[in-house]
Amino acid sequence: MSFIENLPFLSVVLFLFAAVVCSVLKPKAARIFTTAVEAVVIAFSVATLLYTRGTGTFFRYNMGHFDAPWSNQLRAGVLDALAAFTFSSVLLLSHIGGIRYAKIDIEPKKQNSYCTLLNLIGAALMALSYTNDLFTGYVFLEILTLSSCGILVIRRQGRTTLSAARYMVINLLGSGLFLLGVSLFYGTTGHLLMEYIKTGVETLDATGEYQIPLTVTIGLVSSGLAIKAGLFPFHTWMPDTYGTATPTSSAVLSGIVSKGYIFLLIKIMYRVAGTGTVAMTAARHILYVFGMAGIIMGSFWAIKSKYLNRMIAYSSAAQIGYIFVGIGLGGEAGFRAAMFQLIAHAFTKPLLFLAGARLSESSGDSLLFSDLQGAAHRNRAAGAAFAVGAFSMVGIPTLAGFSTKLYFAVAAIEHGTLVDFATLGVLAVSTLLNALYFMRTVIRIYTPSPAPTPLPTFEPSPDKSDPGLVCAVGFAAGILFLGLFPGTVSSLIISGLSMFG
Amino acid sequence: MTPELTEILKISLLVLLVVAAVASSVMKKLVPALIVFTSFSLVMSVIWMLLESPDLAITEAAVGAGVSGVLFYMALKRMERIKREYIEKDGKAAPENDGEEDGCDNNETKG
Amino acid sequence: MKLKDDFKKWLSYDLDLDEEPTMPEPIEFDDEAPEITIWHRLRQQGAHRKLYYVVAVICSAVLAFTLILTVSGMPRYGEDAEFMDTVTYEYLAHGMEYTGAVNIVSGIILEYRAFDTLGESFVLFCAVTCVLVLLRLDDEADSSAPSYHDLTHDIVLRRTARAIIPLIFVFGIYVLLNGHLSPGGGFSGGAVLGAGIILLSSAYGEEASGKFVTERTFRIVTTSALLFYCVGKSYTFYTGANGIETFIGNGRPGDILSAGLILPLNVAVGLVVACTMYGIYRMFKERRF
Repeated sequence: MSFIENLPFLSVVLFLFAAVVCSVLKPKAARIFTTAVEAVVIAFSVATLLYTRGTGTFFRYNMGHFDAPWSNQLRAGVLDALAAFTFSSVLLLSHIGGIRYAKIDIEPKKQNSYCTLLNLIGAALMALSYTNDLFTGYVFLEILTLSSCGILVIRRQGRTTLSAARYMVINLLGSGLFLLGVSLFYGTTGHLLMEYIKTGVETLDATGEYQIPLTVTIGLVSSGLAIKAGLFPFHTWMPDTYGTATPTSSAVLSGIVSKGYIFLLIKIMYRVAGTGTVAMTAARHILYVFGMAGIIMGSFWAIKSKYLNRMIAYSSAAQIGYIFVGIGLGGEAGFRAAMFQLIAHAFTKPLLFLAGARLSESSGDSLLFSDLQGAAHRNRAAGAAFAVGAFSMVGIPTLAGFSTKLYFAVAAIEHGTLVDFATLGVLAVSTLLNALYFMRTVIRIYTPSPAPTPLPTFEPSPDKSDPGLVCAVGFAAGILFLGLFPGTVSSLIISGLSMFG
Repeated sequence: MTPELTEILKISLLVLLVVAAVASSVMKKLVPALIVFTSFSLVMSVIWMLLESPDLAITEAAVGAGVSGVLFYMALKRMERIKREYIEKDGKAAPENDGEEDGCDNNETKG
Repeated sequence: MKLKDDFKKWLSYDLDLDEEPTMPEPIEFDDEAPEITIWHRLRQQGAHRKLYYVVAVICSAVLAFTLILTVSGMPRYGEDAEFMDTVTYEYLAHGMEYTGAVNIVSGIILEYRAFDTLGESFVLFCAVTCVLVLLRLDDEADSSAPSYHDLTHDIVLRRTARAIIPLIFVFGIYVLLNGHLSPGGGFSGGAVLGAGIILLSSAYGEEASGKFVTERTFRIVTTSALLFYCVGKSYTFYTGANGIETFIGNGRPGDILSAGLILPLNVAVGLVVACTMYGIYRMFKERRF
């Protein structure tokens, strides 16, 4: 057994260790330590990815001296490692991109707690990527929920606390439903390791016993995770939350936290319930319908917004709808489109939030569109970054969004029924709507403003080290890579999906 | 205890559990609602014992009926949803005092 | 055409589509009114809130009914169901032999499924970090929060506490240390200890409990307990997955010093739980340690 097989476990434990240590370090030391740990975990994920791609199969990692069904287990294949790489790299880039604002928004004595919470988010995401056990998934889901509420409330402002409270209530509802589903899975099959549950579920599906419990269980688990990820009627916390949090928190939440829940849902669909069972197919159809509604309504509300952050948040709701449409379409093509959109959105949305924060800083700290006119001329790098992100959202070729929409169209055509026309229609309409509000914003920020340059309302810290440029280049490189070489990532996803189940 | 008596005990405890849960949600005054919530935890602890899990019973009693109730009270006090009640002394109304709490500290002589 | 004009206006940000986020108005609580339940309050509010409550009750009832329907078809409590209990039989048959713990529940949570317990301890740590972030006052001047009434002169509380607190501490330490031999363990013992420290703090004031739990103690205990758990269990996981023999033996079941790492881990978890409970209490009470 090569040493690389220890790396998934070490990724999780390293983040947990860093979380504890950061709670007693000074702010600057905590930041440097967190950044170093994130970089190390990115290296671990790349190594695992290359290793699993090289061997062509997954490996299991038993936690403890016991055999499979009686102890915990981690499992790493190509898809798990790819998700871990996405999560850790977006976490690092968002963290360093928003340090400038974190120093101002957060009280000095609480900045090391912020690093603790970011490390806990990293640990939870690594565990959700690699876990092979349903209850471990739940425990780290709890950590993810609590720490994401923590990184929201750390900014002391009235509206932030209110929106964090709303976020917490909706998330706890989702957690509760998920936990009920997990306990029912244990009750009906007697196992907590995913593959064993799947054997049990398939046996029960074949014999027809316990039909109602199985359906209810799958429904509870799917709806719990969909509520947490922000599917259509449950996305109402998004504009308040993303709009009032400090930029790193908005980037981390919209970029990777929602995706962590969706990745766990895909994993459960493949490894616990099996995509072919009757109950799972029904659940997927319901997710598909809500996803379609989310795409249209999200774009509609984004058009209505007056504030930059809220517009980006509503567009987030629409993009999460895309992922659920991909899951709902099913089949290898559908899941490939969903995973591709997951990775593309994880790289694009944080870039928009961080660039938007810098644009508003150069416009007198205001987020109203009326004040943002000409902001790109005041801060050229942020303007260019925002333009790249916006073009990717719209779907201009050579950028990530275009490859995503292409894969969705391919997945939709495979069905050949009414679903095919509906999906293609909604894709076309949503591209048009995306173009409307994103292009309007890009034009706005590039139109020179007749008013004199407003001064920022806060004093930027005298520490001139602003790694924002590194962050923007990192995200843009990711978007370009996904746009120019989609085949590489797509083949990784396909090979990952084949060893996922 | 005979099996039938145990069954009756279990059913009555479960009914009490449901009643306590619904009551603590719809009651208007918060301190009685809090006490009902604590009793919910206590009944739950007894049910865990009847289901033969003593670890859960100890934890539920300590956390639910003990710590959780106290923390709820502190939170409600901090949000000023539980108002002070002044005990009138010698017929005089209590002073409008912003730092003092229930008039316990003037009870030294009654101690 | 009106649509074209509207579109042009929207394009140049002149059209106000009225999307202004507002803070909700505070609800007026009338605590002096004589009603008992909230149904009476509902009558005063608008149709919007009434509909909300009705739909909420219907959704909860549907969920409750669905769950009852689900479990009514499953085997009864205590019934033998071979299909569902393979893992349970294995734990009962070989648990004591492989983990060394007489209390098989402790063996399961700290040996078989130790990773989950590691996660749960970090959930507690995360919760106390979030409470610290929200409530801790770092600025000495910003003490506009209401200070709590000092109950240290309350004679009933002091006399009762003086009798009960030693018993609580002894019981808590007993439950903690005997986790692998009798029911209890880290979480139960830690919760009892935490409740004891809370009682001490509210009866005798900050001076008494501040003698042995200060902010510094809190930080040191929490950090070292969690680090010990991380490092200790990582050693076990690493050696287990890589097939290396570990030097931690299981001892003779029934001894106090047996069951491998379970006793030290119980102590670590218990300390984390006790400090968390006390820390949250202090944050609520005075927003600083």
